[in-house]
Amino acid sequence: MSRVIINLVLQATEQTLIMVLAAGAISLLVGLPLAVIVFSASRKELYGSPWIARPLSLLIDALRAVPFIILLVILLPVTRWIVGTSLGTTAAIVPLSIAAIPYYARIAEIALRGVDTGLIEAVQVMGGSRWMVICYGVIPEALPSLISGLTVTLITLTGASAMAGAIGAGGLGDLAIRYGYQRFNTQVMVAVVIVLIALVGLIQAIGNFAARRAAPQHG
Amino acid sequence: MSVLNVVDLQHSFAGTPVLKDISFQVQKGEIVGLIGPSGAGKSTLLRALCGLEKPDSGKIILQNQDIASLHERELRKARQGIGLVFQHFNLLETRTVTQNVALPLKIAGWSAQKRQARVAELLDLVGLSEHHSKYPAQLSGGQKQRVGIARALANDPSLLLCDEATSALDPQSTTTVLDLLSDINRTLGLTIILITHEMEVIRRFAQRVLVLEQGTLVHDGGMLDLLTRSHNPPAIQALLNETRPTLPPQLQDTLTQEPRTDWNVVIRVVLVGASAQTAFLSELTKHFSAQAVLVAGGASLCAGIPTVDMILTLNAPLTDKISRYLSEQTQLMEVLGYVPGHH
Repeated sequence: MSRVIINLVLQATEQTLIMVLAAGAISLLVGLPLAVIVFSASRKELYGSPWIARPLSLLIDALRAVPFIILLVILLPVTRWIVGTSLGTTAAIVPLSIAAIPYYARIAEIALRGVDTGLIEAVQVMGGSRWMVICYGVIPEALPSLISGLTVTLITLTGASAMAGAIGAGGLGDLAIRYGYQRFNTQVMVAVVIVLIALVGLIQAIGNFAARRAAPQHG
Repeated sequence: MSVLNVVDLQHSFAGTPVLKDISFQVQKGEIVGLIGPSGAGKSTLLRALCGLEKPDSGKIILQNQDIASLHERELRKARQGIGLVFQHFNLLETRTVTQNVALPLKIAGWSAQKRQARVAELLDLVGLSEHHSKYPAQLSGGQKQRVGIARALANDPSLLLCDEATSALDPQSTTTVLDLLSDINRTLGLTIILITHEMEVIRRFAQRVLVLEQGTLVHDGGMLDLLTRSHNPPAIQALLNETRPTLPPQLQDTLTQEPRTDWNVVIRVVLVGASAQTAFLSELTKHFSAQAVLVAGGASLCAGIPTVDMILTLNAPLTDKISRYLSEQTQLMEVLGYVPGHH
């Protein structure tokens, strides 16, 4: 493999990592609070306000329903407004985040829902406020699932970032399309696929490790 | 001094009354058993007592505060004075024993240093000091419940509520947990309300029993009162029968209510306290040359008091003299019927 190709792959890997990690961080920072709001609004033991939970839940589902490639195009003006351009790696972070936020919010909400009601009551009976119920009870108990959910989100983002290549976002997917698909450069294609497999494997391994650390010890 | 005073508590779900005019008082240091068939309103009453359910009307006075009328913020403060032990432990699985026990202290705003000392003290009390860094999944059911008890005691509550605390445990763990609760009651003078559907737990443990049936308090008194009374309401009788000796099936089949000559009399006798420790059976045989055969039951402790609850067959007619002797010597004497004798 030529030096040029190696450099191309390295540069593309870096771009992909930037997109995935930035969008992943934003989806965690926005998606988790969103999940907490939907969860605590839908539980009668906590806030019990379905008029907040239902519309929010609907919005999350609506955003998830839009195919990413369409979202990419719809969001062009928004991206231009936020980043100043609609082209390049930084620009791609906007649609990727918008897609990943509802995705992670839903996964996180399901994880929170998995926590036993008895635990919520236990913290309440100790005199804990709703905030304490969530911080000391629900989130710690759901932590392993929250971490696994984030791992899934990051891997989904890796796939989605390839599509962002359509707006010149760069990254591994873009490289594979331009060199491998359009120019029939099998070498680049194979290299990209191998790097992607390694990347996804690495994310999953780190995610599994973190989730195991957060999970209760057995035996 | 009464710790808890419940006055005219009423509650209904969607128009169906589940608690009707419940009133009772609990004195400091008492162990009270609350029993009733499922659906009787036990859990609703419990949830009302710890402020998880706001009753429609009535008062729940704990430490001069009416739990039923407190607002969120004051209620949270008041809850720190109530310990609750759950049937399914409800421990945080991702937290160690120490962290679980420390949680109520953290909520109450204790400093990390004070928390550490208090947790060590509590774990010592429940005998789990060496397991302090384990996770709930590494403990047995009985040990988990002891963590639950330590956690409930953390804030030094004035009232400990146990919601079916032994129902998920094997018999041996049940005994350990009940012994621990008895010890805590004795040493700390802690008031305990034990909610259960198992009469056996109440019989061994509670000095006083409240029976709830279809939302109404149908009995409030000593457990021994129930055992030595010949006529209990059917619901109570059904609960009692779970823990009382019953006639063996072969005798049950031939039992008749009609007195017949040469048939044996089947009687139930209950002896409590000092009389439970006399040589009752041999005295009976000596005085009346009647052979008394034990067919079911025996001696046990009922709320710490020696109690004999047994079914006997007598191979002599129940003359006035024997009847009088039996009623003098025992706290309850009931004729259950007659069975053919083996002469």
